[in-house]
Amino acid sequence: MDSNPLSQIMEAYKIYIECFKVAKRAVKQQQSNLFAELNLLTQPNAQQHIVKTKIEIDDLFVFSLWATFERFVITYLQNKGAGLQQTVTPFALATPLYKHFQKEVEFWNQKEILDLLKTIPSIDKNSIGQAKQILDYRNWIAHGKDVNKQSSVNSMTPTYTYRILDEIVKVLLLT
Amino acid sequence: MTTEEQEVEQVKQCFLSRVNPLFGNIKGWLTEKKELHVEQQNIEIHEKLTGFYMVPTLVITHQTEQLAELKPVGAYIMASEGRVDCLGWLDTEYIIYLVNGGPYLHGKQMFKDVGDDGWYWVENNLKDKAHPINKETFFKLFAQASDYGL
Repeated sequence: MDSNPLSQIMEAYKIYIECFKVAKRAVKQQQSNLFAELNLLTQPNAQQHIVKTKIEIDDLFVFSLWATFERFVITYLQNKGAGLQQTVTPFALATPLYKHFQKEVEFWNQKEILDLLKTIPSIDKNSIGQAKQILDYRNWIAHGKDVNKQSSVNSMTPTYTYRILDEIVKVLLLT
Repeated sequence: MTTEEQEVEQVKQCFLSRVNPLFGNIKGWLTEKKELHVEQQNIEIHEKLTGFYMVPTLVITHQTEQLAELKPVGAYIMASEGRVDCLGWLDTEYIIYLVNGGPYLHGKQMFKDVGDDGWYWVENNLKDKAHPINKETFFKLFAQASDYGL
């Protein structure tokens, strides 16, 4: 809990962006020796295929950032809840109560967890509102991008997702 | 039409009324680049609140090669009042409409140097910079998206 887990995903995103550019340039320059096992160069609209792939992978990065954020927050709450073992009476109830909390927090509703975090004074309320929109978008991806159940926001970039979630994580690391 | 539907329609019309002058400016700036061809087309986009609606797009080509497409993404975009993507063959650059200094986090502007309401190019990195769209910044973002020097 002493380091920000989102930064490694963002580093991977930056590298992926640059790798994609290299692949696109290789396709444009018809460097067939770089595609030994892949017949990408012989496909019509190879560039468009790459663009569509990038959209899919960007969404997976949004998904991954959220999953990492979610794990971080649950671990944060479990650590905070450990104090129950010292404060609850009768003492016989303290450890079972904490164990139950530790197990159940894994299944808490994510929007309710965000509302809980909003009670921390140093957390920016706007960032919680924006995190809820990211969650909405994450859920849309997780449920197969159903056009009939579109997210409240039309599009979400990994960079923006990182900005918002990172703001919350930074505050939690200090509290 | 309910009040909520009227509000959604207003947001959509406001977005379209901002896209049109942006595209007008871009077409104007590109007239000096005689080697490029700019064609305005219409496509249908979908947003949860508005449903399907038609928007203009700009397709920029050099000879027979498409370099980039400027495509409105929607009015309901987080922290802004609309987004237009510059989909280049190399990369995508984002143009967003910011009002009131743009989004704030912890009382500070998320993007530095945002002044008047208008279209801004937000680089896809963590440098927190938003550049007001003018001929110079547009040519720069176009070059980054398309790998085509202007």
